[in-house]
Amino acid sequence: MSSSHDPEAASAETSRATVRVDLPETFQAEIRGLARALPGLDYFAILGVSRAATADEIRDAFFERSKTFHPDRYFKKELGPYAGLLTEIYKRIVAAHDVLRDTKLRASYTRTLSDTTSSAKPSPFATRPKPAAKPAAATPGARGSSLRNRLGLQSPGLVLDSLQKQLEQSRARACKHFEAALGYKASGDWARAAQLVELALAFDPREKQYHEELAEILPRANTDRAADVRRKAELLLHGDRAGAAELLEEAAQLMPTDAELAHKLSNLLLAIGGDLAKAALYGERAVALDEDDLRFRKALAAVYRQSGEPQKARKHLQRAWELDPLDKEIRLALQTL
Amino acid sequence: MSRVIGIDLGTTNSCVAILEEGQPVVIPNTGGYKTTPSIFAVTEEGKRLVGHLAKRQAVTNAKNTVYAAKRLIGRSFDSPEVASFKSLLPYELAEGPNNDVRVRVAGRVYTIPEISGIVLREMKRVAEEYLGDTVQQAVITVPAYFNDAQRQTTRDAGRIAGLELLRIINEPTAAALAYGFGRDKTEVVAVYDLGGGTFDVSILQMGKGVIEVLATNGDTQLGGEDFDRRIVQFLLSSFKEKEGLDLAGDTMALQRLKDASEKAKCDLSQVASSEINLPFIAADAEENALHMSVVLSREQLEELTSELVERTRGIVQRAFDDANVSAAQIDQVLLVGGQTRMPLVQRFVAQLFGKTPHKGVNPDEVVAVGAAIQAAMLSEEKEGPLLVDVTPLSLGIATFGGHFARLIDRNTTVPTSRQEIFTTTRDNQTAVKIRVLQGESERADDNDLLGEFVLAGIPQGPKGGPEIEVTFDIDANGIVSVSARDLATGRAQSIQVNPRGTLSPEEIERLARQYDQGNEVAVKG
Repeated sequence: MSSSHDPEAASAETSRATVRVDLPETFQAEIRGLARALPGLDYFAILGVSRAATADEIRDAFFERSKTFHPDRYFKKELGPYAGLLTEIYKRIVAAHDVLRDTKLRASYTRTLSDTTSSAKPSPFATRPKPAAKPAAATPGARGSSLRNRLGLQSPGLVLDSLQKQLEQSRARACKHFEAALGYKASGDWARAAQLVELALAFDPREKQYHEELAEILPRANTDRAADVRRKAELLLHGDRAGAAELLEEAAQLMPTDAELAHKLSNLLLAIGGDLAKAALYGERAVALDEDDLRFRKALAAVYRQSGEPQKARKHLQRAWELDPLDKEIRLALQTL
Repeated sequence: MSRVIGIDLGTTNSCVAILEEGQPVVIPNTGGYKTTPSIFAVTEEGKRLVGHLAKRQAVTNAKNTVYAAKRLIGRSFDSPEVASFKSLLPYELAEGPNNDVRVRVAGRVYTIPEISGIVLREMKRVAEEYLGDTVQQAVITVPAYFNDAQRQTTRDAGRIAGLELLRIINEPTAAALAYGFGRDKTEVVAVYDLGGGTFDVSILQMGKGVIEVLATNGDTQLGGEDFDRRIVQFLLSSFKEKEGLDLAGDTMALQRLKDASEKAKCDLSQVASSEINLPFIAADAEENALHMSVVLSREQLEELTSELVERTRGIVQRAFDDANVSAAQIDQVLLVGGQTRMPLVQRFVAQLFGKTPHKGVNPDEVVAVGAAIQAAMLSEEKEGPLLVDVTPLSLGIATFGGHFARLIDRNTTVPTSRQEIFTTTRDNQTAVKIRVLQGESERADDNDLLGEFVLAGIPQGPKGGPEIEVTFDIDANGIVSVSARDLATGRAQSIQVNPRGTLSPEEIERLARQYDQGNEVAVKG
């Protein structure tokens, strides 16, 4: 809420008398009092009905409140800071009506109300039908509630209610996405399925079933995707080699346990004069995944030679030499080092 | 203080009304008619005509006579609606710079808001002549199911006409306002509004001086014009069968067929059969004149158009569902729009709602009367009926995977605000784009984009971590604002969604001034 919706600010502004306000003083006071008290009022209090009210009583109460607080009633009037307050009050009246008119929402809302809440307090709404016949008394504890007010015009109870509703909505959404994901999974579209499970998790991060399903689907989706990316990378190898390297890197991220892939990427990065640190990283990965493949060792050594780290190059070459003492190429490389 | 008028800007006809000493009055034009055809034409001599004069010369000047422009309002040139409509129009469409539809009349290209503006200006003039005073403000009605672009274009048309629009209200709601005026009964009313170009249905709760819209639904591409078209097509094919000649490419013949079809349709609401006689409609290869003479029975007409009427069933059902009422709970059904005069429509409605429709309102005038009542309610110190309205279409944002996350459902009472928490979908994502959409599709791309903005500066972190609170707010004027706030940092970003028409404010201003000078628009009732 912007500060213009703040009742304290409103009264301060009017008291400076710079803003003309075409509303009776008594009604102004009522609006200020209401805006202040609003956070502490439950929906029944907002409409001024008892918890046992019938549907007709709720409708009639909503209509009565509408006649007093609907902004259209004051369409041509100068309202100054009261315009915002009036709208906020009316929005809450609408929200109260939306919940209480619906049997299910009303039942679940009523359950969230603790028995000690506001119903015992005198209503800050002036008695109708004589509009604004008496100024609303400032509610006790106004300081505390006006602070909450600034934080968003909502009482903790109501925030809880709306959060709960949101949570339910989110869960329902998550569930929908998850079901769609299962459909794609059944048809073998792993990528789509993974995407939708992730979406479901974004809405409902705590659902165990989603995590389990994702654990199953994601590796397959990644394999599919990596294969796809790799195919594209192969196509680029003879043309846009930097582009190919990018694609290979994506594939390597998707398939962190594919030693060949890491090796290939490392080699390519070295060949095109790319990022040597990265080349070393993927070279190390290939070696770590398969310690006894001398191609990986040789390639990694070449990277380290290029990056000016002969110690590391020597280490890998020596290991390679142990693997195949007859390899002339390795011996030559060791000698030049 | 100058008075505020209510205008029903219809597809085929427009109507203007005002509240005089608390009583609604429908203002007749200089020809004595209470409705004015929404038609604009330019004659061979370059004279501009509006209303009845434009309609009278339509047959001889079909190419330069624009009717049913409302069906093109707020639509893009390449939309399927325009494509299907285009082939049947005798006048020429042109593409505007923003992919908007324009029309070419006598060598000049007009925007759609301009054409509607010319019609509105005529309605304003009719009111001014009656009142003997200038009029600057109005309440205008639109189909309930118009989207934001269509409403905004209507607003632009009002400005071009030199009118400040206090409010745009929905046609069925206006009809209900007129019906409920001076009646203090608590009842549930359904409005079945089948006009020239659009169909709307609204369900309203009345009582205690308040009219609350419970639900509204509709189809912006279904109306009386479609009924006429069915007849035209029937005539074309029977002529082709008989004479072996296709008249579809002949603009003048088409215009004559259209007029004759509309007339036959209206006749058939009163009589059981109607003869369509069009002498010299075409010539054969030997230059012999060909005539058309067809007898159309009410039964045949009903057969041709029953599918159109049937199409409204599902729409009414959706409105029932949204309003959470059943047909049995409806106390009164109002028929609005000229097409509801058709006996087939009346039988259908009676069967659908299980009761005979209310007969007390004039389907051609009731919408303008309702607009006038709302105009008085907003502009005067009166305890007139208060209208509690809803937003007709759902609002939300686009989310990951091209989904549409709905924050405000259609038929939500306004003013209102709603919040929901969203999160990021990639690791270390530092910005989110909020795309504000309107529509009913689950797929974001199928809905209308109202605006977009970016919330940046989200601290880096794993995906799903940040909490971004998105708030939608609609005020009583229907203006939508959207804000997004990162709950961790408090960083926020917002926009007021000002649906932009295709004309800039400067262009609108220029056009308004141009038509203000007035001498180039020659109109006499």
